[in-house]
Amino acid sequence: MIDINYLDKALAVTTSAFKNYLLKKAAEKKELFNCRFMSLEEFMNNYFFDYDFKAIKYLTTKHNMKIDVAEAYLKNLRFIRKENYDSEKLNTLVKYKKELLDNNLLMLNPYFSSYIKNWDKIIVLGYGKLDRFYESVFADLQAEIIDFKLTDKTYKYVSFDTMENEVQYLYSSISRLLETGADINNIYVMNADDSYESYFNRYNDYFHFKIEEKNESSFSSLAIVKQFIMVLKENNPERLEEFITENSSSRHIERIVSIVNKYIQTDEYQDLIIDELNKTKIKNETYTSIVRRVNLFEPFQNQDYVFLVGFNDNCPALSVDTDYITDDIKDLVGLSKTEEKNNIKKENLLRYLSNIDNLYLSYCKNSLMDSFNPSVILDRMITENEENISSSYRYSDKLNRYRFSKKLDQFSKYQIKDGNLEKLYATYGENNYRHYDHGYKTIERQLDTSVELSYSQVNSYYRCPFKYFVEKKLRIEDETSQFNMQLGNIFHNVLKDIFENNITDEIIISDKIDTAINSVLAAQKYTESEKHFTVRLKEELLKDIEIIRFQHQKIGFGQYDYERKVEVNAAENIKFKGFIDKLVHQKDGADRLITVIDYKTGSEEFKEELVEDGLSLQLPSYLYLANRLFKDENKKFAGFYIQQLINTDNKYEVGKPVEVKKFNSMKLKGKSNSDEDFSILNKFDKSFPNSEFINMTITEKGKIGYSKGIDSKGIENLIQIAEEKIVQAGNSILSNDFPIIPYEYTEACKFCTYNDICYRKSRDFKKIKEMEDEDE
Amino acid sequence: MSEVRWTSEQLEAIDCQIGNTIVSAGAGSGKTAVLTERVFKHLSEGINIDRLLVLTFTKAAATSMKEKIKEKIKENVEDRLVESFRKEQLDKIDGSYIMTFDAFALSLVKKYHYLLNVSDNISIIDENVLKIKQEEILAEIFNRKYASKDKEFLETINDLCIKSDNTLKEAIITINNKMDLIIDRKSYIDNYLDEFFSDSFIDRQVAEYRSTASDLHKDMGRWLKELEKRLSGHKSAFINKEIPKLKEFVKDKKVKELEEVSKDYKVGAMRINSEIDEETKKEASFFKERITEAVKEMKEIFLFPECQEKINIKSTRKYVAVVLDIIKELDEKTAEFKAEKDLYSYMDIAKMSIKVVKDNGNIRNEIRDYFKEILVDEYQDNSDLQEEFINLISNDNVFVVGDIKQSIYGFRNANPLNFQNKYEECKNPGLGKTVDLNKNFRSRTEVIETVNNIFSRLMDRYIGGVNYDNSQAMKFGQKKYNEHHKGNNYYQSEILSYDTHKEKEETDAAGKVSVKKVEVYPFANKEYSKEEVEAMIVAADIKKKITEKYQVFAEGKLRDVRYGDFCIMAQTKKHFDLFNEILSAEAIPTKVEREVQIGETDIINVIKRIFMMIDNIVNKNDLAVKKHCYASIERSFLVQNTDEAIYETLKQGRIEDSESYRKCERISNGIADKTILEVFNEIIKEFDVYEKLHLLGEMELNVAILEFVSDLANQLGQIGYDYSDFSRHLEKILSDENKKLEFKMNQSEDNTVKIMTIHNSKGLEFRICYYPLLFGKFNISDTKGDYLFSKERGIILPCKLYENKECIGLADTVLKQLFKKDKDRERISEKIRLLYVALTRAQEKIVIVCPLEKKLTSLNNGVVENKTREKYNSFLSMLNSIFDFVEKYVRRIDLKEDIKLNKNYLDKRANVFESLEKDREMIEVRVPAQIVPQPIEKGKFSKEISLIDQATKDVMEYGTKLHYLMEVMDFKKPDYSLADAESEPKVRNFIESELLKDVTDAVIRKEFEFIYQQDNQQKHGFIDLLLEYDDRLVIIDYKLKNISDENYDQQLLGYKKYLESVSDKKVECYLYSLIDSEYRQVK
Repeated sequence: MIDINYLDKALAVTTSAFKNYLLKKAAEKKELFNCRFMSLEEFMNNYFFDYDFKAIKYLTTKHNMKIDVAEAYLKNLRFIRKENYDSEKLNTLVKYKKELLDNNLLMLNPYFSSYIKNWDKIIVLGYGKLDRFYESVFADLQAEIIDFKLTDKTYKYVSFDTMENEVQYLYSSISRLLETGADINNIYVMNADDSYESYFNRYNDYFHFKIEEKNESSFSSLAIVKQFIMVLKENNPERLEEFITENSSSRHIERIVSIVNKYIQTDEYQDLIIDELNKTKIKNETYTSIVRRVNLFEPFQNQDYVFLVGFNDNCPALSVDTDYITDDIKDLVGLSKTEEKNNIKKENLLRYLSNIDNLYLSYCKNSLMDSFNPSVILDRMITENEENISSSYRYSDKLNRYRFSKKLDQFSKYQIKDGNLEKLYATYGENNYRHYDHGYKTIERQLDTSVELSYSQVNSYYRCPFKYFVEKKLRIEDETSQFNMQLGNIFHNVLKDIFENNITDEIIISDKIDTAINSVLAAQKYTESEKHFTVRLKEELLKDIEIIRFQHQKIGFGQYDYERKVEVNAAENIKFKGFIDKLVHQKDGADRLITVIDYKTGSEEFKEELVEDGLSLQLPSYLYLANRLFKDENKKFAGFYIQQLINTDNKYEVGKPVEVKKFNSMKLKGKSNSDEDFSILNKFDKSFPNSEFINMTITEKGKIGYSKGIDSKGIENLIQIAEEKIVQAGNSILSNDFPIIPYEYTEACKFCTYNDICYRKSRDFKKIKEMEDEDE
Repeated sequence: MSEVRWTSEQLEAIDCQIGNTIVSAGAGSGKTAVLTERVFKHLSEGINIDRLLVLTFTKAAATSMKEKIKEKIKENVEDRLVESFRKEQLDKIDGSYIMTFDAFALSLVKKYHYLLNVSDNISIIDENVLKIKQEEILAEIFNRKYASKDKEFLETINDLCIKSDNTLKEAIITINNKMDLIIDRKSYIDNYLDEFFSDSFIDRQVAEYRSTASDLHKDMGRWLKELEKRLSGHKSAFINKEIPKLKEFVKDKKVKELEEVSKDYKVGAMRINSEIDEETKKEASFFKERITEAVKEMKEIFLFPECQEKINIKSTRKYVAVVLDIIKELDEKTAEFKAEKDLYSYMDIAKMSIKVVKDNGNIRNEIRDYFKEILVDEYQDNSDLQEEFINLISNDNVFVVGDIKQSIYGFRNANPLNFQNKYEECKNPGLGKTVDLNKNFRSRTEVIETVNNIFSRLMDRYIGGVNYDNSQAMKFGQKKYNEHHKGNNYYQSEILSYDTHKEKEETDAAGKVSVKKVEVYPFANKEYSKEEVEAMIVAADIKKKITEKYQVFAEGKLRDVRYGDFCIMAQTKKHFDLFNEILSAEAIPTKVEREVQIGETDIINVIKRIFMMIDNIVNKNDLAVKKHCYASIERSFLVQNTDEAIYETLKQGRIEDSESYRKCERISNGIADKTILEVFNEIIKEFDVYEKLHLLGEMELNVAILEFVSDLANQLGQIGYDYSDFSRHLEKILSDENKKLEFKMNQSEDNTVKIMTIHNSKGLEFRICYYPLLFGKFNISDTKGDYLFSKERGIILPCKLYENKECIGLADTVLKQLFKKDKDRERISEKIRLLYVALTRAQEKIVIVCPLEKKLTSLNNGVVENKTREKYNSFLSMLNSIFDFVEKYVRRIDLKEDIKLNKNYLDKRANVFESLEKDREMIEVRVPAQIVPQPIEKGKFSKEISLIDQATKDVMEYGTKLHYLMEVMDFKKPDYSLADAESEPKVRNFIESELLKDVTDAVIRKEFEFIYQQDNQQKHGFIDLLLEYDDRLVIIDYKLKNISDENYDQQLLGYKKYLESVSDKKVECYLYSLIDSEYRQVK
């Protein structure tokens, strides 16, 4: 490295890292020398010209450029030293330069040329070999460019399969150095990009020392900056002042203010201020007694230890020809071409590295997202394999525990028993490996002595007992919209109202529907789209009323109950309560003839095969309730049905206009009693056997087609199953039995928002039927 | 390949002159070797490496290609490169253009960013960010249109939607994104209504649709012949009456005539005499059924008269106009968002790069002239955008290599038609050259026979994209296999087939008896799924091969098979975990190679909830959210609280007292000042996440997920997301199955059975390959739904039909049928190719596992007829249709005898510790004492933080100017003309002041810099002016005004101390006010 005295009376163009190094040296050596330091950029800005935000603003406004584009032009202007070139691209720069000069937007330094003459010499150091352009500038000034010296050296080098292994090696090696007495302040990690960050974060916790962490986040990722930008956009200086006062304790406010203070006119330069806030990176805290992170080309002393990690094909980062001034015209302005630049980069790095005494090179073949090859300059280095001490276990219990678990993974998954696994076991014992159990853990104490259930609760329990627990016991509400339920309520309420009170006046009906819809819309905040479709329900509802009215003419039973509430004791401590949407019945001699109907605004079907599993229980539970409602009578059920209130099929079919489709979709779907030669059904359905309102056909042989018939025994059976299922659910609930058993993946869990509470696994699912497989 | 001698075809490809060349290279034919050798050949002819553009589809391929070429240059076989040139090439190769399309496009966009007015520092967006933004923009557009009661919009909604507009919204996003693939999207949209509703377009579409009846008609002719063959020599009413009628029907007819005759045509019932054998009967009914169905289908084609079909299409115009308007707005707003944030997708980059070369002739020419040859690998995966791009920059110098049979990236916009067209074009002498490489060096002859046997029946130009003829069939090339063979059937391909169904008679409601297939044991009682059964079959077979030391060829000789030689492939990864569990339970080391779906893991879900909890504490305080988050965190592996405790806490409303809540509170302190990454790291620390990972196992995976989230936090932090945005981002992604958070773990080579998707297997090879799960149905969602789009057919919406002015329903137009036909064919073509890729991975043995079943079909020119292939819905259906040809590979598996079906794999993994020995030596650990980093405190500024006004700023700038004047002014020989009128007196006052009276005797240092220690801290000092006299040093610090402020003194005394430490001279300090021209000594 250069002798300090050589810098006396010199203007030294150097990097800040080198400057600091030299100043420290000077302090150590107690030298008082006369030297002015300047970075290459600073020197060139003085030598040619500088610009500030006003120039950027000019270009963005006048030429409608993005800020970055304006800056890209500005950066290239200094290369323009003639009035005219044999290149359109260069002449564009000539034009912009002239415009900016004419508008006084390029800041020329009139003193600089004489100022530099005050110095005995100009020395350039720390940059290695320079681009041809700068080389010639300095040649004109007879400046001395001090290159890195290439020394013969054997490098310590090691490569790894994974980044984790590389980091493990790094920490172990540093541990060893510290153990042998090295000062942590002399140890550096060089070249680690942000993919190392999360490893450092973790390993800093494993080891007894820390490697500096860096946060590359943009300033605008801070809530405070986002809030500030919002205020800035209000264009209200007082509000801005207020905001700053309110947030004076923020650790970032000072930098925010200093950025704004550069511009003063916050309205005029708003876009530039925001751009700068976006581009500004978070400032990281600095520490001593830490392993410092450094970039390439920092100078070191011989007591320093430098770990260059990520010594891969991005080191040095080579480029293809992407400059504004492209290779084909670089000669015109005297810039180095891409290939030359790449060679300079390689040469500089090679030379620079050869000057670091205690240098450890490493790289990994794979990071989480990327794969790498070794650095392109490795070929030109003589390397000896660094002793791989990454397998060292002696420095960190925490790391050992982590590796123990990793080896347990290997062992349990692939039967691979690493030699150290049993040593680790001997050292640390059993460690709750894979001990986490997401399953429901029974609550021992009795929560309730009795339970009151509705159909939807029973259904919810069988769809997934744990979901029931979350909803009903933990009382955690679904955070998603209750919109569909509200729609159902409109239909139920209006139909009950109209038919119970026998309202026929169209105007009154219309008003009632409007009222129902408006009350729902007023109650909660819905999107415009939800509102639109809610209002459109009116049309559908009017048709429903008309068709139901027609159906009533065909129904032979005389009594109608709507939303009939029934409460029964299913067992001693289990109450079951429900509203039967529509109960049609009448006395027939000694018998009570009954039909139950369930309104649906969706398109659900009754699936008998699911009843045993506790699903599709709605209609059986209606039967059960009706059965208990008329408990002292001799009951005969004509059928049980779903009535679909919204037709979702508006597709054209030959001979079936939508009106007909709607009419058909309103037909009762479910099971009809086929007993006693259909005599019960016959009494219910005046249009039998060519039913005009039940979705069924009677075959030539006098049977109900497509298993839509059921006999009284079958109905009794369903009632019994319903009761059993209700009681079973009740008892399970009372005994706090809430296992995680969703019944089939797509059905029970698709719209369930609690999967981040249950942490279900695929093996938890209860399979009901063989599912069709589809590729993704 | 370098030690292998080139075949003549390979040499032809390597050595041919620069022009337009397409090399059709079958699987295992040494395609990449040829490409690299060609590059080397160019070098040996003196072309510089950086004058070749080599484009690949993946980064890994580019890296590996570059390495291979580098190796070749280093090796320099036969000294074909002169030493100086060789060195030069090695220097150049790292900056050469061997890269992916995306990387090359990006480099162009960066290079010409000023022409596009985009930043040269653009980033590639996380696609979820864009998706979420798009949905938000669209929702805004819809809401605005509802609110403003936009007439056309509401009409469209009311006509097309029933209960909600969600499906339409989703369709619009899909259409919009598909339109992105159109090179000149803007003019496509601008001209859309004129073009797609022109009479000529509509006439063409309707005619095309109606002509499909002609295809059917031709098929019928063939089926009739087949039928007649089966019925020959027999007598029945059907033969006497129906056959002549049918013969008349299948005679040549124009579409119009077909419409006429099919209207009332009905095929009578067929009763066959009992003397015909069962097999023939079955076949006869099969063909008769086909004919009947064809007549029915024909009637459907002619359901509407021609003129009505046209009216139907035209009547969708108003809806299409609305959709187009929305799409335009959506696109504009999305573009604004992207431009504002400088974030783009790879597709945007590709389009921008095309724009650059398209709009700028000079740049186009520059690139054309620059590259001597453009070499493209995996050309069958080229998208239309990439094709356009290459066409723009090429100069009759494109050399492409690929295999259309391996085009499997349709879902990533690959268009195999590009390959097809280029191949056709290059066949013309003068326009180009084609070379076929079909010698396979990868596989044994048994594998090759199987592949040829299967694909010669499945693939042709119409379906698959290419005729599987002599030029496409694989030819055995790796002769070494012949020297190392185990005879007869050892390497014969196998189909391990098992039964799933048996026939059972059933009577339906109408009393009609029919034979139905019902599932047999073990499926009937839902005990075992097909997936389980197949996994167990595979496990048993692998175990057997390992135990019996099955012989495979490696490094020149036969050796015992290892786990690492096996690969199990399937088209989807859905059942991989199951396979993994079942194989592992059989003690077979198994590794699943796939993208990790982060959304399904515990760890991401609990992290999301912690973020949400923090966000809720700071911004919302919503009780429902709080409870949900609480339960989620407490039940997770991080806390493992019991359900009882959680219940009690919630019941008593004491969430705030919980430790987990307090942790969240601590993190939320001062959160406006924290980046996402800081918040994330605090979460990790507060909840001890790393320390608890062993509770879950899968250490590597879970650590990788955390790393991934940390990366994501970092990335989103860089584009201006704060913690609250991040929380919402996670919430939105994890609650929507269409948004994926996934990454692929880099895994190292090891001795385990691999399980992977066919897509991931591309480019790889394995000694023994298993193909289970072939029954999985293909996803046909792209043709479902009412709102569809393709570039050729346009936006397809249903129309409203009226009768006497009454609406009678919505009907699909012929466009939908045509679209469906296009897509079905595309999909099945790609699936056939996918199967091809799968089977050609095998080096030595193919083992297919499926319930194979004979399905009748007929061949047309040796290939399964179109009608059958168009209906393929799974790989199994393909094999079933060529049953007769693959039957020879079948080995029947009896599920009761051959495989021991069991559920043992469901048992919790045995306690791993039981099989470990404990009394080994322990590990010696000596954890040193903690070294605690000490923060370096920054100097405290006394000045208050506030905005300054222009006047203050002017003063400050004036100060800076004066400072600078002081620096450049020669104090010994001052030239006051350097200063302007305002500054001149200030400078003069200073120079003439008492302080400088002896300046001629002094050594002057300005802006003197040094590093010193103060209060145990390293500080950086700047002295404005340091005068060194023989006996003393004088420090002069310029201030603008206000030199009485004592805060300055401390600093100056620090400087003084430093100087005293490096010099023996006495040191004096002064503060000088530039404005007031007065000074004060600091003591």
